[in-house]
Amino acid sequence: MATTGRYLYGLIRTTEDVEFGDIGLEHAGARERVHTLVVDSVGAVVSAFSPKERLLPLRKNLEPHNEVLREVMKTTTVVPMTFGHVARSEAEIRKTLRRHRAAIGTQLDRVNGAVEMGLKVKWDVDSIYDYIVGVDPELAAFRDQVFGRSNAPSQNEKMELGKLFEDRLNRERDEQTDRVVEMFKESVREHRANVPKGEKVVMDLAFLVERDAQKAFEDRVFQVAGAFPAEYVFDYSGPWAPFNFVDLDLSMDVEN
Amino acid sequence: MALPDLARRAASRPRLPSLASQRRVSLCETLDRVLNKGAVVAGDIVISVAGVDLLYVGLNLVVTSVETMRNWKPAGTPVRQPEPLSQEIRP
Repeated sequence: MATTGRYLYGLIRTTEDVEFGDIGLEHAGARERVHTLVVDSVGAVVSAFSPKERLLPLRKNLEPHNEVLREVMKTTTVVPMTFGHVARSEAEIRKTLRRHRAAIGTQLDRVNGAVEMGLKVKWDVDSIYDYIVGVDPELAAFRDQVFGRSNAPSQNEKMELGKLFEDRLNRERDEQTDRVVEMFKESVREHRANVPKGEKVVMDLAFLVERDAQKAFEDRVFQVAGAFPAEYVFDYSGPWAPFNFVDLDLSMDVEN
Repeated sequence: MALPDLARRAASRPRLPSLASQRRVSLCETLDRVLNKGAVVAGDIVISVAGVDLLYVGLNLVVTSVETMRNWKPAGTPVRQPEPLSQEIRP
């Protein structure tokens, strides 16, 4: 028996049903048909998936989620859902759309006509410690003072040095992030700075870019990269669905 | 076992074939967005898959350890070096 359950990929603006082909999550041995459930002018992008089935965040499940969003993005703006939403029925999804109509509309307006581009900047250096010490003479002097004596440095001194280093590293990150964000200001609608993961990551940025301005954005990446010294490596990715520019938590029981 | 499987795949240069520009995008980038960002529905209307957050913490650790291992490279142990995961621009 076919399931009544539906997996939810994202939300779009549409007044009529849209078909996206058999590109959905695999269910009962085949990629499922992706289509919309429309309420008023909002469409939920869904495919059949049993709520009783286990859905693990494996690559084979995560990639279809992202692929479907990519396909949808070719024709319209999509508010992406986080991976893992399965409703028991189409009626449940319609009810949610109706209930959260206002919040969903606001969110769709926010990202309308735009895509997300990612930009990660890293320090391409052998030792981040040497690099940071190298840009700060005061830190270098303190390091020499702590380690330059004949007796071994105390635990407290080492901790103090470590703290100074950490602060200096984060200050360097903040300054360079501000500089880069400023340089992109004219080319983007919004930006978001995520916490860098990894000691050599300078910044992890997401930009909301007009769909028509992607090429200009990419050119800008090269220009900005050109303004930085050689140890700064710029990695950009995208276009993504605007994952970083969605602020929509429908868990609250909002009555509209 | 789910986690080691993902870790192995993370090191194998994932690629999104639908990208017109054929740029490589790392699995980490996808994971970070698809699992951490985006709209959320919870409560009894729509069932969120339980444990995703918890699993992600696990994944993060595995992916991080793969990165670390790659940098570590003990002598005599060949470690496959993946190509850059996304486009690299050097000034």
